[in-house]
Amino acid sequence: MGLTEFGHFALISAFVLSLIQSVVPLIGTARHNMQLMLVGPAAAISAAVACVIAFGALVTSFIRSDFSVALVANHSHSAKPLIYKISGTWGNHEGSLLLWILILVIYGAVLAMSGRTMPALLKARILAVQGMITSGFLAFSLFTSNPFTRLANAPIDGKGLNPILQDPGLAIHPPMLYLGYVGLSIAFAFAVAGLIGGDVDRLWAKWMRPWIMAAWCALTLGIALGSWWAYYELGWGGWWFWDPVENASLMPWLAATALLHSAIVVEKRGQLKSWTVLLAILAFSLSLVGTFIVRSGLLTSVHSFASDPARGVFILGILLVAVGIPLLLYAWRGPQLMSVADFNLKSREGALIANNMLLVVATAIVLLGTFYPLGLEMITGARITVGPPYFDATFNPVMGILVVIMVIGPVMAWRRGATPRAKTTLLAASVLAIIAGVIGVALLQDIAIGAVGAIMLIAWLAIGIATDIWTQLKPLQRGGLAARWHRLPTEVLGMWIAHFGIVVFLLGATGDGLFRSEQVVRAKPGEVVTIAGRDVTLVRVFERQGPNFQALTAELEYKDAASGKFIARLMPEKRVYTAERQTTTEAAIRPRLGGDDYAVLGDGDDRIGYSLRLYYKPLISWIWGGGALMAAGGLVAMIGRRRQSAVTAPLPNSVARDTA
Amino acid sequence: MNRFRPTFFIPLIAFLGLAIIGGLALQGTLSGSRNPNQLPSVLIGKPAPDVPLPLLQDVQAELALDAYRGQPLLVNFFASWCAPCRAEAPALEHLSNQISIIGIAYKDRPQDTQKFLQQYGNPFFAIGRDDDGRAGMAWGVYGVPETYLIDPSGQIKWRHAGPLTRHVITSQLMQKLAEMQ
Amino acid sequence: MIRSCLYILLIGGFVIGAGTLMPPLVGTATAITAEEMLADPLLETRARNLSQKLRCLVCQNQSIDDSDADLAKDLRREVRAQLVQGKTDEAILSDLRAKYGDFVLLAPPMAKNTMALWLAPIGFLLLGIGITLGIRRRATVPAPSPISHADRAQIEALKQNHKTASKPDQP
Repeated sequence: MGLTEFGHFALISAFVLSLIQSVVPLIGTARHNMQLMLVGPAAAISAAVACVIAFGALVTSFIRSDFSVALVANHSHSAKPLIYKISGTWGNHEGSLLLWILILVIYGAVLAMSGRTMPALLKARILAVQGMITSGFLAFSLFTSNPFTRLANAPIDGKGLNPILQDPGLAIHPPMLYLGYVGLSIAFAFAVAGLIGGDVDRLWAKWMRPWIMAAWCALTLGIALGSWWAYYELGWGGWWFWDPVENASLMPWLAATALLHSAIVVEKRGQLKSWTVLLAILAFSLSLVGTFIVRSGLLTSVHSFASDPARGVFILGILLVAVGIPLLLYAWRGPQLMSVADFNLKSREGALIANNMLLVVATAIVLLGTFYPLGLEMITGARITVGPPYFDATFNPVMGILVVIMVIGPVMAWRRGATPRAKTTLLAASVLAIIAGVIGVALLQDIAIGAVGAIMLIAWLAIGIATDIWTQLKPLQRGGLAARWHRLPTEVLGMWIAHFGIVVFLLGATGDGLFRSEQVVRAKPGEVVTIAGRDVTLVRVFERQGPNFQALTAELEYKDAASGKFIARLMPEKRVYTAERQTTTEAAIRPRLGGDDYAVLGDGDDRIGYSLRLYYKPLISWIWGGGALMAAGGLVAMIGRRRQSAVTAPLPNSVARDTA
Repeated sequence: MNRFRPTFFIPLIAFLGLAIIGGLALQGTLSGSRNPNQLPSVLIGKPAPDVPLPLLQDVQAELALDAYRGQPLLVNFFASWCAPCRAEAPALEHLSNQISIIGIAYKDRPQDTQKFLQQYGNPFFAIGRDDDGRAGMAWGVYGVPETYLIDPSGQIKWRHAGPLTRHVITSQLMQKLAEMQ
Repeated sequence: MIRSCLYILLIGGFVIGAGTLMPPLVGTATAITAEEMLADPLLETRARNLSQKLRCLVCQNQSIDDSDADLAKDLRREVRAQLVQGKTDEAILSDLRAKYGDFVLLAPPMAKNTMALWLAPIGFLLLGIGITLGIRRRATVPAPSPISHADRAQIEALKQNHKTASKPDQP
């Protein structure tokens, strides 16, 4: 009973602590008062503890099915399995907002506890900015979206959760995504703190990088999980719909990828400082824009919460302050960060600038496509749709050019020219890309030009990476392989893994996109359909009762068409959830490395037959495998750095040794 | 120390543009002047589609709209399986005293339509049947109920998707009717 | 010189490959039933292509090819009926556009009010290339900035070194 009120009190305490965290350390920096500056870490850690308590209280209410709490009554049900009761905590606007806040304060607390080498001034400013963001979101929660409101008369049972959201993928997709979105707030805080203090330099970039990496990895995984979940759960067979909310997650990812790469240039060469600061501000701003899209009810989408435009006004307010003021600061103080460009365009810096430019152009395209319908409606009242065909025509080519640059960049030298191994790599990649294209045209009759292009791009990237590895490790050269391996910076290893992840992703997207098989039939029990070398028998269709639904299930037997050997049994079904009176389609999927068998049951009966849609999707799981590899590459690069900086001797000792 | 470069203001200006669009859209949604879930009709100002439909009462006879020219008309697409249609029945009943209403049974069975009319009242002076929805497509119907206001010359002047509520009638329909006098 | 040309050729080829001529990559599960499909495979392929360009008006961002909704079914049937009548793809799309508005097209049409939408991506790219090439020519003298962290660390190190150097030597 009192737990909810205690949670509410904890949330209010967190709000007060965040306000303190926003103001006091900044006063400390102005007055060079160390004690005031140290309030920052203290407030950050205490706020985190308070939020953990608050979140814990909410989760407990869900687990206990305490229907006196309005949120639990509206979004939960006693018949739900426990794991979905827990994940139901963030399956709604108020709860997911609290999760967002929780992750925000935990990031702040971790920063407070780490970063011992960071100068106090910078750290104080970063924590202050972090505190301001946290205060804004806590205010949003407490004043407009309080998760702890009670109902005067508790109902006997709750209204249940949307059955589509009762899935393990959903349990982890929002938390992972938020780890990414929110993690970008640290980079944002670094940028704003740097603008305030004017101390943006190579060390600043070095401290910032792990935070960018962590957020980027989480965001990559979060997006991949969301796409994977949509494929498995929605029964639509697709993995990306250019839905406004999906775009809302893609835009920060694109900006974060650009930021990741430009921070390298700042750290290694002290260049592109003002550009990196801008990207850091933009990446988190795009996260905030994403929040706005999802929670304001402006754009209809499968993902948006049942939202309240009044809340949208509050978010817009947060946006104006959190994005407008830093951008103003950037306009004012950014020019001071500019430095002489002392490199040739034909260099690694040049390639990284091209990478950034293309990623930002891609982000701008997605932003334009997402907001144009709204803008047009405001100006002329006309309603248009900007759907997948638009993005395919505009976004894909830009990404295609980026794939080309991805092989050129790593073999360029800093400042000017190409490294000696560039010739080998580029030649090998070009030749094999052309060969792959020729093979594609020869093997597959009436293949589209686009498909040939895709195959050539994949070959270019794959061979480019492989040749780069080969020329750097020189495995055939006698002796010294171990030494060359150890001398390799772990970041390069991470880059190879992450870029290879893109190859894997492209193979998956192309395999399914261009080579899938489809059979749409109406079949009676006993009939056989052939697809992709398999004979599929509709054995029977029956009804079954699930924990909170009733289902019509089809039993499909897959046998190899040539040998008659049994492959698998797939059971697609249509479910009716009793509490919500909602019907969902559960596709039956048999995932394999080579491709997925995918079956969907439509309507019908034993007399006229049942509508069946069977698909074979080659390599589709490589899409998410590629995403996982990309995140793994980022993780390797992130962990490796810490190990390396421990190995490298710190500056003072080496100076002392020299003069001893 | 202070260098001024106008290009550095571009991100701020772009952001403010976006914020203005968002703000206007929010204001529109809050005031009710825009509804992201409703689609405006593109046939406003165009002549009403001339798709002949069989009458509910007599399949051989045809419902032709141009027979009723010379007076303002409401055309209401409804169905027995449509819950909001039941909700708007009293409003339609009330309106039928002021303006002639033609009903079009959309993708329905005649016996079900008859039962619906018996249960919820019949405000229509003529009822057509659109069994397969093709006529509705000519009008740009995407759901039921939908109501169209036709002026004496046969042009569509206004379309409402969703049930007619008192608010919609007083704030929108009455104004449109007044403009026609 | 030749190398640069080769690179430009390659990039151009890949851009064309990856771009406008590429068929939609995301393969969704369709919602059509066997009965809906036309007997003529050529017409049926055209029907599927057209269906993928038309939006299901009562769904969230799905094409009529993918959606199970009744209206989607009706629209699919209408598209096939018009194809059997012999209408061209453009005529069918215009017809539905005239009835439901531009909203029904998944790719916005090229019109006065969408010119900016279609031209902007190329504009962005050209702007980006322009700015990238312009970086080379920028020669700005950096204003003296406050002491950076790297410098500060080095100063501290030198100070430490000065202190240890002035300590008395070990006997």
